[in-house]
Amino acid sequence: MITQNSIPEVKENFIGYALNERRIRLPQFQDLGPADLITLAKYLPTSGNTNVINSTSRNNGVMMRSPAAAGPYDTGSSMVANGATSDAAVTTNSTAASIYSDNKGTNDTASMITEFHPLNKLKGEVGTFFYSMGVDTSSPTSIAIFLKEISDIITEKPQVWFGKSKTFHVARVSFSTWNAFRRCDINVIVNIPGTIQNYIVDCNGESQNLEMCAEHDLIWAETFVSGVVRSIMLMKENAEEGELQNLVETLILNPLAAGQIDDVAEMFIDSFPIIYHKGPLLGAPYCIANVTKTNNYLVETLVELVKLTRSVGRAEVMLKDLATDNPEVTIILTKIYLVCDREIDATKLMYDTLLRDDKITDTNNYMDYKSELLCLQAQFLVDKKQDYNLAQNIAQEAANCSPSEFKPWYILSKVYVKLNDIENALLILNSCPMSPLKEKYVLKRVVPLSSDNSLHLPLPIDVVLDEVTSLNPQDVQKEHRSADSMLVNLAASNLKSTFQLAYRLLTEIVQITGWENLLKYRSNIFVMEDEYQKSSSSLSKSVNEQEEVPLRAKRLCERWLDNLFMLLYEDLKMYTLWQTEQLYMDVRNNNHNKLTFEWELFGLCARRLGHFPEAAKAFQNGLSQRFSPRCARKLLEYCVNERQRIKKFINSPNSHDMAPEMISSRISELDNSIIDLCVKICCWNHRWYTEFSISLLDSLSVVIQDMGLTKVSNEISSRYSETVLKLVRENLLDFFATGTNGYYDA
Amino acid sequence: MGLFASKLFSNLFGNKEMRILMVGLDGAGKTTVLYKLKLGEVITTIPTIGFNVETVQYKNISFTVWDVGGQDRIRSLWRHYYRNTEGVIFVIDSNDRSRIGEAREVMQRMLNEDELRNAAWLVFANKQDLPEAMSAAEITEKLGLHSIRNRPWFIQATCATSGEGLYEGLEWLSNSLKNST
Repeated sequence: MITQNSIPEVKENFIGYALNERRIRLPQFQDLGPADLITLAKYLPTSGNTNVINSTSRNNGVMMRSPAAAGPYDTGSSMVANGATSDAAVTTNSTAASIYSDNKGTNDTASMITEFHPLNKLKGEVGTFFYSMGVDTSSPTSIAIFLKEISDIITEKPQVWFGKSKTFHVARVSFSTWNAFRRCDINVIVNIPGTIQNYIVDCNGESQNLEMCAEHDLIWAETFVSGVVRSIMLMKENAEEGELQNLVETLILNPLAAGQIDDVAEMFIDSFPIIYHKGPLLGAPYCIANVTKTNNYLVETLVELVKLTRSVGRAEVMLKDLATDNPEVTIILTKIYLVCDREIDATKLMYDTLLRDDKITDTNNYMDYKSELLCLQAQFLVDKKQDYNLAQNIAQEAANCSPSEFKPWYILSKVYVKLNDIENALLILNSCPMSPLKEKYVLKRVVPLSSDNSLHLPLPIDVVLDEVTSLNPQDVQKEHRSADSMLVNLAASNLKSTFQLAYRLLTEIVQITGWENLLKYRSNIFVMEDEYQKSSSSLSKSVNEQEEVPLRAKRLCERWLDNLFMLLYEDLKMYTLWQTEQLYMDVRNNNHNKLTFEWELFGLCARRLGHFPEAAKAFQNGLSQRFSPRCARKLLEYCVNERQRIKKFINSPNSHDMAPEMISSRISELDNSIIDLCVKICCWNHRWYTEFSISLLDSLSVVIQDMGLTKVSNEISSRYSETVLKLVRENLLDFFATGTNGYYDA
Repeated sequence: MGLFASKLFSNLFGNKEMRILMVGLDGAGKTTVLYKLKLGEVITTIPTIGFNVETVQYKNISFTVWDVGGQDRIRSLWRHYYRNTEGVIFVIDSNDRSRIGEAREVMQRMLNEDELRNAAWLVFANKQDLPEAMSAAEITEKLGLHSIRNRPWFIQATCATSGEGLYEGLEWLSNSLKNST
């Protein structure tokens, strides 16, 4: 539940500043677009200004005809002028009539933002804004309800505003959300008192009353889908970084729990056919070079949404219908089957589709579709079936079909690693097409902060979990400054996108070969610098012919891969150093005395190198000293993976040496850790205005699947306070209870 | 000082505030009522998306009236407006005999809402100017108003386009506020 203390706000220099800045930057918005923007115009009520509001309410939100507006977003000073003229301009009552009559035209709408109440006359007036994600933007009504909720929350009780207690009233609240399909901004303005208006603003700054638009139902569907895609892709794309997002003045809500009128997941699935063909407009995750209709952010979101809400049934019906005219849609259905434990259906569908591949009529992307299906097959064989020989042929074929895509090469290289064919693994890795500049989806600051003092970042006092809530950012900063610089400067931690994935493969390889042997392999297959110098500087070719032959058989190592080798060396060196130090300390029974931040960095290094238990121990050490969200998230990841790994032992008694009682007690132990970590991270997120996390939902789901909701709820209530339980219930447990189509046991 | 003093002064001059929620089926005339009260004018309306909110000064009371869209799909959103509501105006299209049953159902459900248990209940039997309109008495019966217990209620025949009955309704609301304080 949102409270006054869970809404961050930024003060505006003048009312209308944020909306203006956003409007100026519209042409720069790319792909999915920025977070939604909410602006408030607040004031302190006195009997004086309530009358002012009353008498001018006829102006409220009404599109003014006054020609006085010099430009759409003038500075505050001209606002006063506008305010004054708007008062005088109201001679008749026809202004209210203009809400309902046929009114549009850029002049009117351009001035609409600045000509609200003559707010400069209001006592204690202040404009504020913040961003949001996850609000239901399927219709102006659902947005209006949300805005009213925000306004109610702000005005219900006195607000602690920069050290003083102020009882604000809200004169106006607005919502701006980017429609990524047609690249325009949808603005909903609510005036209190007054009425609600919706505008669509394009990149040229032209605005139009949305209700007057011919396609307004379609526009709303697109806007709604854009919002859901942003919410979910933000989490998915940043999962590796712990869903970290740096725009602190953002309120992040669960889009799947936000539906005001209808269920969001159902609406999304139902809207999918209408916008399916426009999917590529949204772009795709960083490792996809060719964006197709089945490989893009829209499809990724659908798959993730269906997985989270367990809406396979509804999605299946919709996709099968869509596939009658668009046969490639079976790829999407396959993806959904694979993530929803319908593996048999998935394999059958992939097989059938490939067999009848002449049916895919979109010949422009035919090879892409085939490659996608083959990648899905190969991935499945590697991850679930561990059948690497079969996977190898398929991955090879996939790479042949779409040689400029990263994924098939990556999978092929991985297969070779699993088959212990190190030379081929390295050669294929070297051939991976790297997509250099494509960034992950992150939230960017659209409206610059006017100063450091303009941020109102309240501390949510409704939920307090000591170690988490009291974590002081200043202390953490101090640790960062005094940490071991070698550890801090490990460059591998900055690797992004495809380079990060390639590095992971390299670490898998070195785990098999060891560093020395890896270097030997490398010099066998890649041209080394000194060899190259020798051959290029030699005068007589014939003399060197014999030496040249082996040189020609070698490949040139890509610069980025060379760089990865160097980063790997640094990581390995650091890891060995720490391990030796630890052994030394253990032998002498000394304490380690490392900062939590250092444990965090070491843990990340160990994790990069595939030493997961050591990494987990490091994170635990860090957490024993103070709370660290990064340690907690990575430890949570380890616990979940470990739990799933051990769980498999139950069904295959000969693959391990754990007695059954040991297995169940270990799982129980891990379950408790998972619950604890989820609760703490949830509280931490709440403190920073984030009420949604896919990784928490996924982590908790594995426990709830076995334990059931009631038991998990009881565990939490026995260990934590009432308020903490309430938070976890609202943010996590309720979703499992009501948002997952009855999949989980009560 | 400001807020406290203003409250003091407003009581001296007797200025009270009352929060009103105006609901009803779509097309009953809620928005027309609101703006007739506010502006004294009859305006051409469109189906309300979300809500309209205006303050209407009558005698010494400042009524804040929330006019909420009545289309079927969005009726589930009315609950967002219940909190702190002191009076409900339920507007009926007196000419719509086919939907009076639906109106009754909707209204009865609202009467059972906990958050509205203290709200005064005013029914506007609107569109009385139409020849086939049901009378206030008939509507009282069809809505089952006599079965309302434990709260003050009143039915007022109105014609939003002419303004008839509107201020009488506000009069009743202002009295019910006086009686409750």
